[in-house]
Amino acid sequence: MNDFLNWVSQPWPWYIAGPMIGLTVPILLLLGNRSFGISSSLRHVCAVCVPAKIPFFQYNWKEEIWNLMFVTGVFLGGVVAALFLSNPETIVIAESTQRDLRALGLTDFNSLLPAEIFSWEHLLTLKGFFFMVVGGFLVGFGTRYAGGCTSGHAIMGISNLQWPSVVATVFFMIGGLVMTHLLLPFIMTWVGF
Amino acid sequence: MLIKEIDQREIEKNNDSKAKVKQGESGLTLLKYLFVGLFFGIIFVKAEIISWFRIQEMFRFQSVQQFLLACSPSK
Repeated sequence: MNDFLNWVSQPWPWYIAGPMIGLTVPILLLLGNRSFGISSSLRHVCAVCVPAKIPFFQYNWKEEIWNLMFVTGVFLGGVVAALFLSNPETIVIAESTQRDLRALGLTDFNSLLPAEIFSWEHLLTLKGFFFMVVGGFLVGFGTRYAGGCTSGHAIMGISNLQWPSVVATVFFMIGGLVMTHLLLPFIMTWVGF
Repeated sequence: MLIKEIDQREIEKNNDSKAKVKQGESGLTLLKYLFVGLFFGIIFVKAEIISWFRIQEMFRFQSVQQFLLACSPSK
């Protein structure tokens, strides 16, 4: 049992995790002919909570409860992984990335996320607010505007040979590159690193 | 007027039958999606896909891990 726990506590390699993620697509199709996606849950939650006469929210959201169950499961999975299966060692990040991020002002490379930005105590400071609240809003807005997030487009959409999903994924990558290489240095200085 | 009404009824009937075909999953049968989600959430954390540091490595092209992950499911 301890051996097993030690084994699952290590980070899982890509050749295990990648195919497992890939399998989610056929599993959902077989279970109930559902198309995999995460960000659409945002729309369903709005449709449930805001029954105003907004055409975007006028649809039978009861059909989409499965999606809310799925997303709740993802959240609980994160909790389980963090509480019971977490890696006792510190994360191994490429030397070159650490050097680049040190130059931007980060010093703590011990967990999955930089604690200097993503922590409860920083939520209401400029750093935390900008990265978590403003960033979160942009992610939420962008995924609905694009009709899906990286999961829906890059995993489900491309697996189904959807041309729009390829376009969306290419632009997700371009957006990430622009943010990392052009905007992040300015933002880091601006929020006080 | 009459034709319109009949059309309207026809549409409603169609909608009804469609709704019946699509319904059928509720309550406990939806729990299976919770478990698929659970499985999925654990993978995302354990493979460090959600790590901000891993994403930075990827966008700086300093590690191939995220790219290998992204390419392996599509097989």
